[in-house]
Amino acid sequence: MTHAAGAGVELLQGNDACARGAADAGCRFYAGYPITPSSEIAERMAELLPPLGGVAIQMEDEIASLGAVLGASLAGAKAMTATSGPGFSLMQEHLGYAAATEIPCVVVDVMRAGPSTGLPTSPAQGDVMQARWGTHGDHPIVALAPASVAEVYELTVRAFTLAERYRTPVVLLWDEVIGHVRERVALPDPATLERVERARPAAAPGAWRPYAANGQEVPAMADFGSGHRWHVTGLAHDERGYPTQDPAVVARLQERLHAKLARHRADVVAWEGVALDDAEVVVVAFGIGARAARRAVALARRRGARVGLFRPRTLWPFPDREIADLAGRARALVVAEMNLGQIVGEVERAAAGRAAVTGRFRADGQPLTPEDVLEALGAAGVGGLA
Amino acid sequence: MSERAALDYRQYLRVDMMPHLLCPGCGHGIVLKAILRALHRVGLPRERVVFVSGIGCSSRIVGYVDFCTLHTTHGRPLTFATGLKLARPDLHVIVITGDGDGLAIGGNHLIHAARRNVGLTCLLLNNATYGMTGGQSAPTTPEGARSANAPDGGVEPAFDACGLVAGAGGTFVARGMTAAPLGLDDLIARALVHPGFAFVEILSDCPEYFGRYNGLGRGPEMLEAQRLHVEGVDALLAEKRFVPGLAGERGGARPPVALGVLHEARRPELAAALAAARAAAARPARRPAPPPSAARPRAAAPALADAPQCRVRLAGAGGQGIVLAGLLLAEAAVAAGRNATHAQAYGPESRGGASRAEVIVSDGEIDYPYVDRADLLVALTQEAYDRYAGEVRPGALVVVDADRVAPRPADGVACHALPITATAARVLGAAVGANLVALGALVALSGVVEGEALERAVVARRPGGDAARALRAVRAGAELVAAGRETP
Repeated sequence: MTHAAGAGVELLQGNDACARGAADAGCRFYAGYPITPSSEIAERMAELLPPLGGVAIQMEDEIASLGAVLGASLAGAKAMTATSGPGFSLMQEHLGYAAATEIPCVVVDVMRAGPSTGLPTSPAQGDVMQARWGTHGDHPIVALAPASVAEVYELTVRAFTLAERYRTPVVLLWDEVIGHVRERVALPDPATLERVERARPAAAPGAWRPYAANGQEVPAMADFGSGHRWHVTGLAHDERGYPTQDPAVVARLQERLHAKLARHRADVVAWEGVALDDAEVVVVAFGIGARAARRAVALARRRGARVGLFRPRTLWPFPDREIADLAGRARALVVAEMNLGQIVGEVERAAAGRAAVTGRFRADGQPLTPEDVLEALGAAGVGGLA
Repeated sequence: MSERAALDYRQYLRVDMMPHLLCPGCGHGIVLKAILRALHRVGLPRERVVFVSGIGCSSRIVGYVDFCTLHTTHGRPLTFATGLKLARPDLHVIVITGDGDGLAIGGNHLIHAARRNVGLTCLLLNNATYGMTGGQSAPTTPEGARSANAPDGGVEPAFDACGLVAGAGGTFVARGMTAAPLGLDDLIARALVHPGFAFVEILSDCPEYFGRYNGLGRGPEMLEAQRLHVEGVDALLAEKRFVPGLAGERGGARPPVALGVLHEARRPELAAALAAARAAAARPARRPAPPPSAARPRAAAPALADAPQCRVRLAGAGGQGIVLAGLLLAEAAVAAGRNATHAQAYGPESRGGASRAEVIVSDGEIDYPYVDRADLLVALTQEAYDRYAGEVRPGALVVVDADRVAPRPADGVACHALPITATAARVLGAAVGANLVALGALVALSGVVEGEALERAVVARRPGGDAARALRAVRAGAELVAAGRETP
């Protein structure tokens, strides 16, 4: 097929698509600190936001960046920051604060090879567990992992929807390759996008209880300066937002914070399956690793192998039920990721011994290749691939 | 006076959050009352006043005032406050911080908020200790004073918070003390109406820890010491000496201090400066709204790619424009209605080091954007040639810069060694266009895209801001090929 070159079709870089998606989703505040390989996002936001009446500011570090984002979100703005591994480490404190106080925000982590300064210009997928558990204490979190430029745009828009709908921080995770690769895309008309805003209190000032969920899991949230006077604190708090150490009240808060994602799992957890129907061996991969796996699966299918690909688009909450279902149908699951084994533990837990789980890990600063995945399929007993 | 008489503190307090957690004799309650008196006097619209604080005894104050209140993380209230102010410049943002919160863990944020001149009021309550954690040394603990973790007296000098903020660019800097509470009202009221970053250091007292560890007595004695202490201190401050003797020979007293408004200046406030810059630029949004289209970002039914692909690798040194050449090729393909991807590999250097771009052109989906074995290879350095010459497919077409690369004959590969650097120098007067000359030659030799499509992409992107110059380079590359055909 020949692609129409019509209006809206362009060659776009992943990080650029993120900025465009954010602006189209209604993001009007960006704060960040320069870091490779994410800096293009800050540069594009500095172009895109001022003409839309928004603000893009460079803060003194990543802690300050997410702090400013949370302040802007409390003022009613959809707000985002972007960074890479070292900066994401610094943001963990405020990720926890956002989860505890239920302030919507979007945090992009364009993953590079670590630990520490690592390989600043090389891709990796080593921040998956940091996204889940990097901040202290049990807390809910959403993490999305696009695998193409078009999907960076789509999931950036989606991140704002989920952040606003569930009053939660949403992490967008992609690797340096997805951030810098340019692909042909036809972005949708922004007017057709679903733009979700947080629920704001219907009650009059004085009658509204800030953290009372009223039978639902997500309380309404008033903009600072809108007439409702309320208190926000990272301390455990009651329905008024006041600090409390009452075990029953604290337990209720914890339960609700987790229930709001658990009860809406179907809305949050997304994935893509390729050639799964008759697959005996399934590759589990995300980001650029899933692109290598897609190629490997195509090559293996041409040679008659019954293999498929399961690609989480949501990494947290992890699609464990879907993996459990696959484990009941496939003989083996091959997890390919650019780290030394992070989601493989989640896959093993979900598979619970019903399918063999093996891993193909790569943490040398190079992207996974189709050959890497084919080799792992061969090691998992898929014949005829040589 | 009549206004103050009319003030009932409870109208501004969350009485249902009482009792408060401050200790008997703590100076912070004196400050809280001064803040409420100043707010009452200035008469800011209550619904637009926001309190932001960090972590520590002083930061707990915000919980007790009935406004929009934000109790943040340790040391970071100014970061939240900056976001609030920039998103809603009409808000009056008051930051309450302590000496540990504002000067130790949050010191970096303090100097940058001052530098930016964010329009907010920052009140730093300095009680010279970490009270909430049990009386450890703070950046403002005087040299020689005892603390929970300096049992024999500390050896570090204390911070001059006002000097720091003035030096960093704060436009209103003042110091007051709880021993003179009515003077505090005036300073805070002036800070509240200042159009810029207004900073007031307020000397407060912690009898529970600082006082007890240093034998300074309870609240009343410590207040009296404050008052005595400021007399004639300007000379001592100039000499950078601290006041001895308030607690005996071991010190334990505060550094000498000057009170009142210490520094005042006018320069643009950050939110206003940003708004002015926006108005001055008045740029249209970069992206015109595209017409409604049925095109969606993702194919509804995922398919496995099977269309033929042309895999192109361009390799050379950083600064040669390798990535740009690949970008132009991919843009030409997309503009011509084909599918294309462009991936790059590079080092941390802006110039030098190895650089590589990989472009795949296809009429179908492209599953993996990297090239394993290339159909087309351009090598502009010997190193790039040596690295990639073996990673090509049978029948591949290879273009090298004859001025820099000595190719080796290889079976089944058509290698074209062209004088690329020399041609760039001849046509443009510099070697910087070698990437474009090579690209022109590659397109002419391979037909991976139409020459006209490449030229349109060059005109659209205007490399180096000069489309005509870039076109000369691309055409010179194509002419090298044509000349080679005429004279084999």
